[in-house]
Amino acid sequence: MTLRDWTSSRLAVDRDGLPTGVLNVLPVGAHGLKATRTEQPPAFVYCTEVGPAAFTPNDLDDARQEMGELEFVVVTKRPIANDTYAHADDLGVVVGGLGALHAALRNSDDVGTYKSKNHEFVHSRLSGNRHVASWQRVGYDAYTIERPRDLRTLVIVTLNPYEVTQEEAYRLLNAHPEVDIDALVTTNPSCSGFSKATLEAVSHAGVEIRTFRDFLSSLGEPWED
Amino acid sequence: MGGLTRWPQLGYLRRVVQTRSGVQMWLFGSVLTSQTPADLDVLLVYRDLADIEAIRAAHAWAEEIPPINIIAVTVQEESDYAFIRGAHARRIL
Repeated sequence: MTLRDWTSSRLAVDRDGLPTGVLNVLPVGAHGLKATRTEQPPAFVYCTEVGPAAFTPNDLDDARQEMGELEFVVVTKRPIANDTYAHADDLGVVVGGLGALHAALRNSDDVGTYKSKNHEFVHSRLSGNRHVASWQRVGYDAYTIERPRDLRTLVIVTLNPYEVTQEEAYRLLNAHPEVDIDALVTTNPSCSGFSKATLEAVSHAGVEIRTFRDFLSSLGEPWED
Repeated sequence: MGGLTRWPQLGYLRRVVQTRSGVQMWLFGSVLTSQTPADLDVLLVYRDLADIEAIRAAHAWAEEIPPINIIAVTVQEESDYAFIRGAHARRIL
């Protein structure tokens, strides 16, 4: 069974067994699928090959060449390069896993515009902040944030667990070697603080860790280099 | 041990964890209470971060169906958070 066959057989219901609105699925080209939905326009999905090599911006361009109408690239059992997300945002397509595809099929007329609830929350708060001139994703949950006047650009990685563990802090820092992270920012409203171990982990890396509320409040401040 | 027999991916994770001495494996959340959990929550308690890096690298746990959601804490963090008691976690290794 190819990954496309596997994906095709799993589009009608999500992991909780709930229907996504998909009526039938037809193959398109070598890797594509057209999912016809009950009340929404059809969705065009590209299924990547499984493998150890990361899915890169060049791979995304190749996929678009192969399937011009693609809206969503589903990547399973394969890493995704951090810079692929910014490229996908620029192209107006989504790169993600099967769970995100299920949510997109259920909730979005254009699955290429789908955002998770957490991304919607973060993006709206950044876009609506007067101390943010522009922002761009540099990873699934990583952002460069340009600020007006002489305020320097910040790089953050957001996360959402109730408790931020030391291991998670290290893992997020190591997952973004191509950028100098200023802060890990938790978007979980129930997070009231951080353990000594987690604070030590980020301190050793020269990074701060803040709640999203505190981070937004600090956007007008200079931030030390 | 019902979770291990019902969900083969948990059995595989247990075998991987077994190769790293000193790592405890606990289940918590809906895997203990539901026949159709949205994900399989696993707590690993460790002393050496390299053990967790090896376990995470061994397999794409989050891409299983249901996905395995791993939280890893040091022995000290577990003591600080009292996670096991608070989550009514069940030890399987």
